[in-house]
Amino acid sequence: MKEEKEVLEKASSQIAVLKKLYNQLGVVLQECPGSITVSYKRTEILVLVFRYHGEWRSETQTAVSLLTFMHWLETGNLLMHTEAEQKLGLNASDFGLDIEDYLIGVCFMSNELPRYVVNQVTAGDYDCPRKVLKFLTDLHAAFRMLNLRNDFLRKKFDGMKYDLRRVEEVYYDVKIRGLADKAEEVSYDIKIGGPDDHGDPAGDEGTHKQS
Amino acid sequence: MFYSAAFYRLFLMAPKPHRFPQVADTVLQSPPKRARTMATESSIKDAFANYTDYLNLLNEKRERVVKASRDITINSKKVIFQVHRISKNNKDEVLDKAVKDLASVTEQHVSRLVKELQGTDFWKLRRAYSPGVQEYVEAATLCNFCKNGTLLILDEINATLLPLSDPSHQPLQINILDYLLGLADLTGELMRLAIGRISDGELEYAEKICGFVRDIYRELTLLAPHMDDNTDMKTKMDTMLQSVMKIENACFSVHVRGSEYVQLPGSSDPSYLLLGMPDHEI
Repeated sequence: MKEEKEVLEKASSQIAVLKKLYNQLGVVLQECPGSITVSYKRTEILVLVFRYHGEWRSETQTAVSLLTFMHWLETGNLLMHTEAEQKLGLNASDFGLDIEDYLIGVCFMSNELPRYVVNQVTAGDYDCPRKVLKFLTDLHAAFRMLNLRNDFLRKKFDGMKYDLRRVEEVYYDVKIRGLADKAEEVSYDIKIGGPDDHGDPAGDEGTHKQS
Repeated sequence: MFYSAAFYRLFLMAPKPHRFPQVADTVLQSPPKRARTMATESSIKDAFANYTDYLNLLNEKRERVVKASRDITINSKKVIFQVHRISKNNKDEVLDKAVKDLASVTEQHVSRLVKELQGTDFWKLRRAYSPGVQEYVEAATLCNFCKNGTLLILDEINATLLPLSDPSHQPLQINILDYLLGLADLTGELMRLAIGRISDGELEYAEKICGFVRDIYRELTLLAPHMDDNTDMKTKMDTMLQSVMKIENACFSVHVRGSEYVQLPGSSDPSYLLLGMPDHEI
């Protein structure tokens, strides 16, 4: 556990570097001449942010995936879009975090979870699968609310169900062998958009089981 | 205005979804504020409800832009085909109709883009409307060359678009990338026109086209490496060289066989220069 903290702290220190780099990117964009005449009063940087967005799109998605993964390891919660935006020193009124980039980043994070869970079990943490399963189930349910086109985001979202299945398999393997600590075993319930949905990470309160 | 940012911010402030045009107007009037931080205790579901609404509006808008772009493409192509109906005798009528048709493309279809492409959406949705705009540039420059013999430059074509927007909207202006891509396509159409003109016996016209296309090719060769993300342009440059060579070869054939060309008196039949054999030994 102590090692995990150290690892997370070390990783956290890189966030500041990322923030500085995004800031530099913002400065570079500000110094670029705009390509269309701006006769309306607004920040020219915004036009360039979208014109050259492709240049840093995949890097941003990777950054978001790592930030969300770290946030989950630290708190057990999903890092929200606005929180991710702030961590990178971006702000919605000029150089912001694109929502689609954020969502794709979250999908990349989900890709990491099956591998994480497998290695945690090997290392002896038998409660991990339950926590990861609950989180990923909630996440998948949330993504199902979106209406997607047949684009990259859709593709990544489709991959999430395979991640979920692998985590379920690990959870099942651990459970049937009775490896999960009896004291920590709680009924596996998930809340689906009910009025008392407070995002409880441990899943101790429940209204109905997943079918 | 700042579509994604403003729209998302508005969702944090007011849970009830707003239609996009109202959002844009609101944002234009109020100063940008920092997005309120979502409390970490908020349910994932609430956040994703916001993301859903954002994506729904964005995708619906994208669809409208794609539909407008397709209509622009089809109708611009009709203008181009109209121009190709030119022959020695009917130039003016054919071109007048083409210019009129182009104007109606502008009024009916390009105008649909004005409202949708305000602010940052102009670049964000470029992939959705770029093909339509390129075809439109192709049609407009072709008409202009046939009428005036000159290249319609970007500022001129954008000037024709200014009347489409009312003062509250940012005017729709074609960006330089789409203009240059449309220009590259123009050379293909000019090649077809040149070959057609040669068959009609208008060698001089064909040579004029040859010089024009060669100039465009030369200038674009220097510009293409500087364009953003120029994979499209690179393929077009290859095609363009083929077009230039086709025109040059056709002009060459006519030039070399010029002495063999004998016009049948009183006949306006095409001379089949490229296919026919000389009537007599040289």
